[in-house]
Amino acid sequence: MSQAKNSYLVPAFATLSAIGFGVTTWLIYEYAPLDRVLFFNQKIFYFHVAHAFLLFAAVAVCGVGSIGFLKTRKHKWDDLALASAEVAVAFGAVVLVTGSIWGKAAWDIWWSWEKRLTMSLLLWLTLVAYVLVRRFAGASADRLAAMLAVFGTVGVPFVYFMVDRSDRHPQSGAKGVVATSQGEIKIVMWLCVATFLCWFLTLLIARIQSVRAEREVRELRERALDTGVLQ
Amino acid sequence: MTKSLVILACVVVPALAFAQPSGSGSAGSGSSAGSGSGAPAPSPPAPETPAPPPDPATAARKACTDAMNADPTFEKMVVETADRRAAELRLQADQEQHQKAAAAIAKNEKHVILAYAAMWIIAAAFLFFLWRRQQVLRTEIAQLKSDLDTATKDGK
Repeated sequence: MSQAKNSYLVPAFATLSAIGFGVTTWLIYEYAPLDRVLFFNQKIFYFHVAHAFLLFAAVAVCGVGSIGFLKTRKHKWDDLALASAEVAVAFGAVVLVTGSIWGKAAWDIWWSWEKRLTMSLLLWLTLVAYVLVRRFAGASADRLAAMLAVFGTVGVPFVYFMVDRSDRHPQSGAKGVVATSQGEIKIVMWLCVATFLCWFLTLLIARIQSVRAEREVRELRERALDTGVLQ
Repeated sequence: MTKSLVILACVVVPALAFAQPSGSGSAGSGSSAGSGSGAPAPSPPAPETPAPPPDPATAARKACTDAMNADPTFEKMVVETADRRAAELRLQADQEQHQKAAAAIAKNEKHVILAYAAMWIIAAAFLFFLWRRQQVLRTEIAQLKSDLDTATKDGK
């Protein structure tokens, strides 16, 4: 992916995201029917589930990047892994916070230590650990962090399929909430996923640019030290 | 002579008894009876308790009951009225329930807004973090490049 393409992609995806935010917000409030059981608080579903899907996508990208880095030692894989891990932390925070608020609205509890929620929290903490290791353990910790990312990626299927074994959380899969919901709800739901996918790509590409800029700074510092510009 | 005395007694004693006030009249007659006249004097008749006047409400009630029982449509009308009133009460209860549900929906609205706010705050924080880091990196890259160019030129 060339630098010129990168500079074009970020504003393109950001524009698509902005349009999508406007359209989906209108659709959520005006088009999607009111749920007969959860009433108005079911509106949280549209962005909570979309963020959850993209959290899984971000962790998967991070895992693929980490495996690629461990195998080839090429920086482009490492940049991809680090950028997607940070985006995954942000999306995971949204999932946990909005899920907690939804739990309070629907079941009158902020948090429950059930299997699904606990696994989601552990996955998010693994990603936070990855970011902290990359930030504070120095450049040599990249392989350790990559292993941590692979470990986190392995946890994704557990979190997803744990839904079917969950005590309280709505179910997923063929018999799940998304698959069995009404047509209008499903349309709005997938439009939200598309919108947040654009948002995810915007953040991911922007963060990859940032990671590359950090790498450039490190290389320039090394050159400056070699030439005596920096002491 | 004896006959005359008996006649006198028969005339005078009742006359005296009538001349007495009513409370003591019976005593007087009793004393005269006890005085050995031989025939008991007839007691005055006991006064009768006056019958209560007929209650107009009772009479009206009875008239109404008779009229209602005589009307074959009355029972049906009563049932219809009771049903209508019950339906009104049910409607009122439903309306109250709907108002409570509307209040619950309004309460849920708060949580939806809270969740949206949380999502946008996290997104804004991440964007700010990205933008800030990018600014610092751009400045540092420009500075380092400038310093290296200067050093290279000076070296030549």
